Amino acid sequence: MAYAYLFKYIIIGDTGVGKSCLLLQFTDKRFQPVHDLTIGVEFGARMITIDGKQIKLQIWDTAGQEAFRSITRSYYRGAAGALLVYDITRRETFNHLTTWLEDARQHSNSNMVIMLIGNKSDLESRREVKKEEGEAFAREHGLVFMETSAKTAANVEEAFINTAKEIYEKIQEGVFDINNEANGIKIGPQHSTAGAGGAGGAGAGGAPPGGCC
Amino acid sequence: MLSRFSDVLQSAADVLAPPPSRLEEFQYHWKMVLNFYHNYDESSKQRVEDTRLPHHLQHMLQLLVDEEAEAAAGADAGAGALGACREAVARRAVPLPDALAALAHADRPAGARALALALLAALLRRTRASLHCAPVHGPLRRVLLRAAPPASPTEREEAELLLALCGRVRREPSLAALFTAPLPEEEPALRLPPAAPRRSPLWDVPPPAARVALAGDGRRTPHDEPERLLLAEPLLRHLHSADSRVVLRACEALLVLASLPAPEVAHLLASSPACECVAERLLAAFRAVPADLDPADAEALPAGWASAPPDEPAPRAPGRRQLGAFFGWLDYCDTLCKECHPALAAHLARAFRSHFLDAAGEALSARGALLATALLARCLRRLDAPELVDEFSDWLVGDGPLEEWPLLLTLVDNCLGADHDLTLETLRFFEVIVEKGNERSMERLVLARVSSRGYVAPPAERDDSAERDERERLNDVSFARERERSRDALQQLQHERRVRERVGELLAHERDERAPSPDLHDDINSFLLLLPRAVLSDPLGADYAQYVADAQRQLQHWLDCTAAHAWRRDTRDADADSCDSRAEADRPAPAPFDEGPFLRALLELAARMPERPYRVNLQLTAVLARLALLPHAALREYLLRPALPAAPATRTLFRALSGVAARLAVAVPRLAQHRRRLHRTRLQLLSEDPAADDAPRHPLLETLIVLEEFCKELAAIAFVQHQHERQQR
Repeated sequence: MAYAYLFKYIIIGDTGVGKSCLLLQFTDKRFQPVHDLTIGVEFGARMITIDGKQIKLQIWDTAGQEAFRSITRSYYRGAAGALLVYDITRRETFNHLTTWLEDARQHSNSNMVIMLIGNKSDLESRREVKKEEGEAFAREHGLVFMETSAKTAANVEEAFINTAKEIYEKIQEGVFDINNEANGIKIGPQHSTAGAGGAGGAGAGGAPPGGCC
Repeated sequence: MLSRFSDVLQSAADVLAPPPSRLEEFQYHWKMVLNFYHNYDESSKQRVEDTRLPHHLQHMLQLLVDEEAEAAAGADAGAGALGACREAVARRAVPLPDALAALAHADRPAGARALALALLAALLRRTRASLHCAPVHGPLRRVLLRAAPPASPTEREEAELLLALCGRVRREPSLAALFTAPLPEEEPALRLPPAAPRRSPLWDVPPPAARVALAGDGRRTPHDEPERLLLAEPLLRHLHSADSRVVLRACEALLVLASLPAPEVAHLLASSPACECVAERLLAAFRAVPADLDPADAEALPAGWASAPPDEPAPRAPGRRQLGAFFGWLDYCDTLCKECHPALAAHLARAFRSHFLDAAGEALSARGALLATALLARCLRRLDAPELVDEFSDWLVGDGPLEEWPLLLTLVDNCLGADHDLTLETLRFFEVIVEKGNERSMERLVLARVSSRGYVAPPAERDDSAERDERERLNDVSFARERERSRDALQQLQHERRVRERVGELLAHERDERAPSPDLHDDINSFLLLLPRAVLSDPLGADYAQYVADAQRQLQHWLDCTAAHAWRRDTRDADADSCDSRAEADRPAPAPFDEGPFLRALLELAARMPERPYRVNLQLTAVLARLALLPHAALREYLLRPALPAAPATRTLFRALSGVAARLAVAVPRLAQHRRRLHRTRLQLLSEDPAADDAPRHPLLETLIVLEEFCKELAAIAFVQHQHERQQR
C-alpha cells in the first residue's frame, strides 16, 4: 500500500504495563488478556491519515524486563516516536519512568517524539498513580501525556495518532532530516504511478509533499 | 468428529454435575491426547490442524496459566505451594513437556512439530514452570539435541522456542548448566503411562542424550568430552538461515545469552563457535556487496542490525540490500561486543580480526580495492565497541617492522597510485585511522617516528641563515616578476607587514608575562606568507579567526581522547618544546631520520599537489591537519615549525608545501586572466550553495586555493598548539 511517509515507533516501559496489548488493540482492534512475555521485538503496522496524507506507522514492541535491555537498546535508534508506558495500578512502573527516559534519550535521536502513556485506565478502583501525577511528569520532561485502556480501547487510537501528528509537525517545521532513514522517517513511493499499489512504485520517491527548507 | 461429540457430552454433563476441578479438567484433556494416539492410524494423511489435538493441548497450557495467575493473585494464601496441575507435571503424572518433545520429534500427524514447539515456547513465556525440575528441562534438552536440519519448515517455531529458552536462562543464569552437554547425570528415561499404546510417538522416545549426541559430530567420548552449550548450536545454525525472521530471533537470543553477567556462560559461549560465526556472517555480507556499487550509497542507510522489520520487502535500488545487510551485521557485532561479558568481548574482537578483517583486507589489493577501502573505512568509523576499535587499529599496523606489514604497504601503494578515486578513498580511510587510532597504532604509524627528533638538523650542519635564505628565495621567485610592476611589490610588502602585525596582535593577547617566542612568530608567518600576495585569492585572510576557533575545538577533542595515553606524560616532550632552537646543541647526532611509510606517503602526496585533483588535495589536507592537531610535542614540532632548521634531505611538511607554492607562484600568473578566474574559482569552491556555479575550473587554481586555505589552517593550528603548551607550563 502506498504511503506518503513511514514513521517508526517504539513502545517502551516496565514489564506487564500492557505494551503488547496496546499494540494489538491499535493494529487489530482486539484485546488479549494473556500475558505472553515479550523477549525479542514484535512488530505491528497500520495506516493512518493525517492532513489528508497516508502515513504508515511501523511499531516496534519491546521487552520491558531489565534482563532483556540489551535487545531493547538496539531498537531505540531509528525511531521517530516512542510511547513510554506505565501502569496506573502499579506505582513502581511510574517510579521507573526516569530511568526509561534517560535510556531513551541516550540511545535515540534527539528529535524523537515521546508520548507518556498511563495504561489500564479501566481499572479505576485499583489506581495507584493519579492522573495529575502523570501530567506533572510529562510537563516536567516535555512529553505529551494521555491515559489509555488497551482493554476498552479508550484513547488508544489517539495516543498513536497524536504522536504521529507531532512528528508530522516537526517534519513541516524542518526539524527532522527526512532523507536520513536513521531518524525513523521514510518518504514513501507516493505520487509515482498512482493506483499501482502492491509493493510500491519505482524507487524514485519524489520530493516530500511538505517540502523542507 | 467423535471427539467433538464427546466434548459436547462433557459440557452437557457439566450442567448436571458440579464443574470439574482444574486438575480434573487438566487430566481429562491429557486423556483425550492419549486416546488420540491410541486410535492413531499411521497411514493417515490428516494434518494436525484438522484434529482436536491443538484444542486439548492449548487447553492444558491455559489451565496452567490460569492456575498460576490465581496463585499470584492470592499470593499470601498458599505461598510456595505448587498448583495441582503444575504438580501433576512436576511428578510426571501428566508428562505434558515429554509429550510435546515427543511430538516435536515425531511430527505425527503432520504439523505436530510446529504445534509442539510453539506450545513449549508459550509454556516458557507464559508460565513460570520451573526449569530446574527434570520433567520440564529434560524434554527441552531432547528437543535441542534433536534439532531439525537447516531450513526445516519449522525453523521459525524453533527460533521462537530458542529465544524463549535463552530468555529464561538470562533471568536465571543457574539454568545454563542444565543446557550443557554432557550433563553429569542424565534424567531417567520417560516413564510412560500404563495405558500408552505401543506405536505412538510418545512411545518412540529414545533413551535421551547418548544416541542423539552421536548425531552431532560422531566423535563423542563419554567422559572427557568438553562441556558445550546446547543452546548455542541450533542458534548458530539459525544465524545462517534464509528466513530473516529466524535470523533476527537468533541474533536476539545470542545477544540475550551473551549479556549474561555469569562468567561460566561467557566461557561456554567463547568455546562455542558463536563469535566466529558472527564474524563469518559479516564477511559473507562484505563479499556480497556488488563491486560496482557507489561507496557513497552507504551514507544514508539506516545503520542498525535491527532497523528493518524482517518481513519488509528489500529495497529495490541495486546493491542497497547487500550494503544494508553488511552494515547490519557490523552493527550487530558492535552491539554484541558492547553488551556482552568482557571475556566474551575479547574473544569476539579476536574472531572479528581473524575471520573478518584478515579476509576483507585481501580485497584491498584486488580489483575491488576501491569499494573494499570505502567499506573498511566506514566500518572503522561506525564501530563503537572499544575492543573492536582496538583490534581494528592493531590489525592496521601489524606486529613486526611497520615497513614489512603488507596491509599498510598495500594501503600506501593504493594511496600513491595513479587512480585518483582510490587515492581519495584511501585518504578517507587514513583520516579515520588517525581519528580512531589507539595508542599503539598511533605510536607505530607516526609518533615513534618523530619522537627521536631526527628531523632536526645536527648543530654542526645547521645554518640558520641558509634556511632563512631558502624561504626568502621562495618568495623571490615571484618577487622577480613583481618588481616589474612596482605597485604589486609594494602591495606584497604591505601585505607582509599587515600579516606580521596581525600575528603580533594575536600573540600579544596571550596574558602571559613571558614574551611570545620569536620562533612562533616566524612559524606562523612562514605559513601565512608561503604564497606571494600576487597569487592569493583572499589576501585579507578573512577566515583566519574561524580556523583558530576550529583548531581550538579539535585540539580539545584530541586532548580528551588521548588523556590516558602514555606519551602525554612523557616529560621529554616538554624539553623538546624548548622553543629556543639553540638549546639542544649538545645532543648526540641521531640516526638519519625516517618518517615511516605512513608520513612519507602523506608528504609525497603533499609535494605532488599540483598533479592531483581538488578532491584528493582537500582530503589530504584534512588528514594532515588532524595529525598536526595531535597534542604531541615532537609531532607538532615536525609538522608545524618551519622556523626550526630541518636536517638536510629530510622530508618535512613545510618543504613539501614550499615546493608546491613555488611552482604555483610561477605557473598561476601565466594563466590568462588569472586574477579574475582565481576569484571565481574561490567563489565556486567555498560557496555554501553547491549548485551556485559549475563552470569548468582550472586544476592549478583549485590547488592554489586548497594550499592557501591549508596554510591559514596550519598557522591557526600552530598558534593553538603553542597556546596549549604555554598553558601546560
